Amino acid sequence: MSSIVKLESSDEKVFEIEKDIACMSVTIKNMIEDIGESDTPIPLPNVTSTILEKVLDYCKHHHQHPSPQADDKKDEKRLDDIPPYDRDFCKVDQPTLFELILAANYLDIKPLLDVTCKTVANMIRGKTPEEIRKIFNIKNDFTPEEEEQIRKENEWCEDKGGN
Amino acid sequence: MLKKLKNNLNYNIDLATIDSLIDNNIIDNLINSDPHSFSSFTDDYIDYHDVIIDLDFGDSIITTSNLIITNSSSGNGRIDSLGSNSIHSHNHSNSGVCSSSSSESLDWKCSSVFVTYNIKTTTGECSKDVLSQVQKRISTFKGSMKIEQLDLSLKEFNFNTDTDFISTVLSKEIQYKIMSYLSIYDILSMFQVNKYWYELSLNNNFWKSLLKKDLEKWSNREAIKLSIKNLESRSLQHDISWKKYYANIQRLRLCKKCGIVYRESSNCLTSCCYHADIRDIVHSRGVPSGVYWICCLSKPKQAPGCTMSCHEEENQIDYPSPLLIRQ
Repeated sequence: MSSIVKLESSDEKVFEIEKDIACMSVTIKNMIEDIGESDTPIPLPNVTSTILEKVLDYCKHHHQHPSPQADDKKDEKRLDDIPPYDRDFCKVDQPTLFELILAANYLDIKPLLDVTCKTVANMIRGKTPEEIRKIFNIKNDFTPEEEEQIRKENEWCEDKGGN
Repeated sequence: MLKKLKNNLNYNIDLATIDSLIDNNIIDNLINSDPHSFSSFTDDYIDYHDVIIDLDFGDSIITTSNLIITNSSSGNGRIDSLGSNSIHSHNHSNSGVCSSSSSESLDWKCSSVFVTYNIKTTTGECSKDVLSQVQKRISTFKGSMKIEQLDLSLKEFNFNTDTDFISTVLSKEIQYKIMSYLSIYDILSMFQVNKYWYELSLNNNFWKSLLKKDLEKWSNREAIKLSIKNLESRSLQHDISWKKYYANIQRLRLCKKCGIVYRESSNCLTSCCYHADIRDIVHSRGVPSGVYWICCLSKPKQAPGCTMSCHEEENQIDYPSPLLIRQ
C-alpha cells in the first residue's frame, strides 16, 4: 500500500490519491521528489476539478489494468489501436477533450496525451478542408483566389489513387 | 428512474442558404410547431429527448441564434408543460435574432443546421433498436421540414460550440503532434483550412520529420535516404525546402519505359517491366517467322515486359531538383 498524496485543483478542490497513481504524471512525480512527502496538497493551478477528476479516473484505470508495453515502435503512430476504455474515455465534447489534452500536457501523462491527440487526429482523418472547418469551428480567412492558389500548391498529392 | 444520458447523436442538415429557410417558412414552422406534433417521438424505447437545432451561420454576423425545441415526456407518452415552455422562450429569442439580422444584412448564409438528439433509455444502453427508432423519427422530421440532403451519419461528438478550440487553445507543439498521426492527405487538408494552419505548413522542420517518418514505409527508402544524405552534404540545412523535397518524391510521374504512373517513394528495382528491344520480324530463331519482341521472343504486342528495372521519368524538367529554397 503506497502512501497517499493530495492534489489541489484550480478551483481549490482537494483530491486524495495513491502516490503510485499520482506518479503516472511526470510533473507530479517531479514535484513530489522535489518537495518530499508532505501533508500539504500539491497545487495544480492549470487543471480544474472536473478535468482533474477525469484524469485521475484515467490514471486509476490504467494503474489497475496496466497495458502491455508496446514494443513495436513503428506502430506508435497508428490511429486504430486505441483501447476500448480509452476510446470511451475520449467520447466527450470538444471543450472537455481539449482541456484533457492541455491537462495531459501540463501533467506530462504521455499515454493520455497520446490517446487524446489521436482522438482529435481521428476527427480530422479523411475529411475535406470544409468538413474540418465545420467540425472545429475554424474560420476560413482565405480569399477564393488564395484558396485556389493553395489547392494548386498541393496538386502534387491530389491523386490518391497512385502507387 | 431514467438511467443517465447514454448517447448523443448528431445529425447535420446542410442547407444552401438561410433564404431557403425563410422561403420555405421553415423557421416559422419550427417556432410555431405544436409541441404535440412531436409526441409521436415517444415510445417504449425513448422516454425523453431534446431536439436542438443550432443554426450555424458560417462567417456571418449571426452567432447567437439557437433554436431549441425541447420535448420531454414522462413514461407513458404524456407531454409535460416544461417542453412547451422552453419552446416558447427560445422561440422568442430566435425571432429577435431573425428580425434584427435581416435588417442588417440580406445575404447572410446558413451553412448548416445541427440537430441533436439526447436520448435517455430505460434499459441503460443505446441499442440498434433505439437508433433505428431515432432515424425513423428524423426522416419524419425531415419530411415535415422540407429539407433536403439530410446526413444521417452517426457522429461521436457534439459540435454545438462555436469556439475554435483546436487553433486557439492548443500549443503549436501539440498541434504538430496531432498532425504527426495523420497521413499526408489529411495533413494537406488541415493546412488548407485557414491562414493560421497554412502558416504551420511553412515549418521546414515539420516536413523534415514527416519525411523521416514516412520514409520507413516506402519501398524505395534506401535510395531516398542516400539522396537525402547527398542533398544534406551539398547544401546548408536551412537552404533545403523539405516540403518541396517531400512533394517531389510523392508527386505522380509517368514512366517512359512502361507508361505506368508511379511515385518515387515506391519506385524500386523491380517496379518497371519493359521490353529492352524493339518488335521486329524474326526469322530462324526457333520460332515461326513473324513479328516478335526481339528481346524475349514473345509474340503479342501486349506481352508483359521481360526486363525489370526502376521506373524512369519521361521528362524531368517539370519539378526542378534539387529543391532548394534559394533559387
